[in-house]
Amino acid sequence: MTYKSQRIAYLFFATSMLLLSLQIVYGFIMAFAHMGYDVLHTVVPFNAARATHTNLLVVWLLSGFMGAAYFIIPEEAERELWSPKLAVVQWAALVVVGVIAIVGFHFNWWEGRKFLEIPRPLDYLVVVDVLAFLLNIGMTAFKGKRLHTTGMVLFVGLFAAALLYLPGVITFENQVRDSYFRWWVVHLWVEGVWELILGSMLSYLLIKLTGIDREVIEKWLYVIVGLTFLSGILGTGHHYYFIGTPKYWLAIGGIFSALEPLSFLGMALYGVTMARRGGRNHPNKMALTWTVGCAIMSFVGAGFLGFAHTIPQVNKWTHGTLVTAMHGHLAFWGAYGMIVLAMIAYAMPKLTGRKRYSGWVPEWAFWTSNLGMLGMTGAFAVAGISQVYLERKVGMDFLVVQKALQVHFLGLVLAASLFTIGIVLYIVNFIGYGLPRAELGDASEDADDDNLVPAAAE
Amino acid sequence: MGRPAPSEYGSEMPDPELAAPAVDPGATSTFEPPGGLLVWIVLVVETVTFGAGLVTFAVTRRQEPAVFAAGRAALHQPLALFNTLVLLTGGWLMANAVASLRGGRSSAAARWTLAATSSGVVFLVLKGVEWADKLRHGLGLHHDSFFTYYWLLTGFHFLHVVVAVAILAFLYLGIRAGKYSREDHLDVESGGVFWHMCDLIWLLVYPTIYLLGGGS
Repeated sequence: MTYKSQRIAYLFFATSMLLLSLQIVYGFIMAFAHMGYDVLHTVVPFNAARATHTNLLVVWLLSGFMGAAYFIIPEEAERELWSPKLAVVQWAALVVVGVIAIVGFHFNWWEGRKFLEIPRPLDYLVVVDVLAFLLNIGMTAFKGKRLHTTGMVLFVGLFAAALLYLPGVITFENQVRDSYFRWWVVHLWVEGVWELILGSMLSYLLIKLTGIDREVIEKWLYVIVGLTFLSGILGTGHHYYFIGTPKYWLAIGGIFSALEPLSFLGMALYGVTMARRGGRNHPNKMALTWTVGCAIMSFVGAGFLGFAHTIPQVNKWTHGTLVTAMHGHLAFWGAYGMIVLAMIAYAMPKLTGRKRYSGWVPEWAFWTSNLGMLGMTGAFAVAGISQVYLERKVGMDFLVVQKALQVHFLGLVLAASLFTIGIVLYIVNFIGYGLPRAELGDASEDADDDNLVPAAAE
Repeated sequence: MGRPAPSEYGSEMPDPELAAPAVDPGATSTFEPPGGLLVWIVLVVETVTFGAGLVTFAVTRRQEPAVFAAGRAALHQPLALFNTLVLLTGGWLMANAVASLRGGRSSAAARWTLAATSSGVVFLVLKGVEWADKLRHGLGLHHDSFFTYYWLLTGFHFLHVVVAVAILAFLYLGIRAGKYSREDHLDVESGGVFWHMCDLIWLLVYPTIYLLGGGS
């Protein structure tokens, strides 16, 4: 750690870990409900569990992005954070809003709009909170000595993400119109501006971990990310196929969605090539493993599996089935979950001075969580394909089909257990790092903080 | 611990934990087409995208031949042909600009670039005239499938020409300010390639929409 205020990142990372754990709990509640054991139905009905599960995902990722920004921006701008106090207040506000929202879901306080269930008054608080965050990193960047491309792209990504939250705050009487603009938030986040955040974090980690020239990384990675981003904008069309929008969205959505996997493939190939070509060994191998893993799994989950049901002719059958859950799980894990975990894996030794990146715990955390997630994806795929066949081809009743699918959720629960073991190991390792240490953040030491760590610190 | 010399980015601080380079970082010979590899990647992706759009157009035309024949009959052929020639002339002008710059004749290069930029503006204006005429006759995006694709394909192409005109205008200012020379003109070549891409795509869009497909 070069600057003392980078410590703020720890608060956000810890929050991420906590929310991720909760998200997994709600995932299990739903998986058991799908198996026929909906025992918590009176306390946590399926719709509340579903809203909680997806909203927790968004908030733990956002918290991870914010933590990453508080860690990266001071270093990219070469100065302390503009206002560490504001950052702490902003963190506390985020937690408070998050807790109220999650508790509220259990008391039926929510908007019935998929993925954007947070009630209106809390929306405004989110906006204020994000503005405080942007002001802080924006001022840090603005007052800094310089801002590298990576820092710039990260800021633009976060700024645009905040801006794109607004279409979701507008209400429409018409269901089609409402859905139309709801996707501006949901889709343009995950297949648009979040990719800028992903790209900049990937680029930062590759520069730090492989020693490859910043110029080379920045030039190429941003072209690739830019292509993903551009294809993603009109790729929004794949959500518009059958919701009542004009017919031309079939062509636009189909063509631009078909391009998306190409650029994800480019990102994966490039990430792997750069990691190999860097030719310099960084002791924190696990951070590099997560980084390269992210580049590969985002292609598999977001690119390849997204393509698997993005073409109108296929989507006609798979729209709104468990096939979507199959793609959604691996896409979010590969593209966004893994980049946050990669960032935390890189930042924690820097923040705390402890080097807990070797040994079986971090390694097994990586492999079991990834294998578990692949297993879950497989279970969702089998369940989803069966659902499409029985419900949409054969024409069986929705609930009859759900009963027939119960057996597949046993596979899901088993795979999810493996995934959970990985995440538990990751969190155990995270807790083992302890709290960040202020004395490490001293720019005058020329960033050689690792030399400051006494061996006894372990 | 080896630390690379400061790059043009200034005091770049790599992670202090990095070991010394095991391979020579200078040994990065990459395949370099004119204008650089980046713009060619853009070109390939763009061509594939427009190609997919044109294939969709052709497939729909097979399904609705009567609608497409009627749509094509409603287009203004002489104007489209003239506009195609304007765009091709623009490509030739830009090729001359790059050639002049390579020959070290900066002021000539600036004039050619300005001419190429103007040709782009003329194309946009004429396309605007054509579109206004279609709208006057009620042939909008939702008229029928032919006009849906007509607007999407010519609209996307139009946006590319707008971007290209902006790039060419910047290059013109850069050449005049002496930013580019016989030795250093990669940006001008890249911009030129992008401009030629607009020609290339139009040469696929034009026959597909305006010329092919029986009827009339």
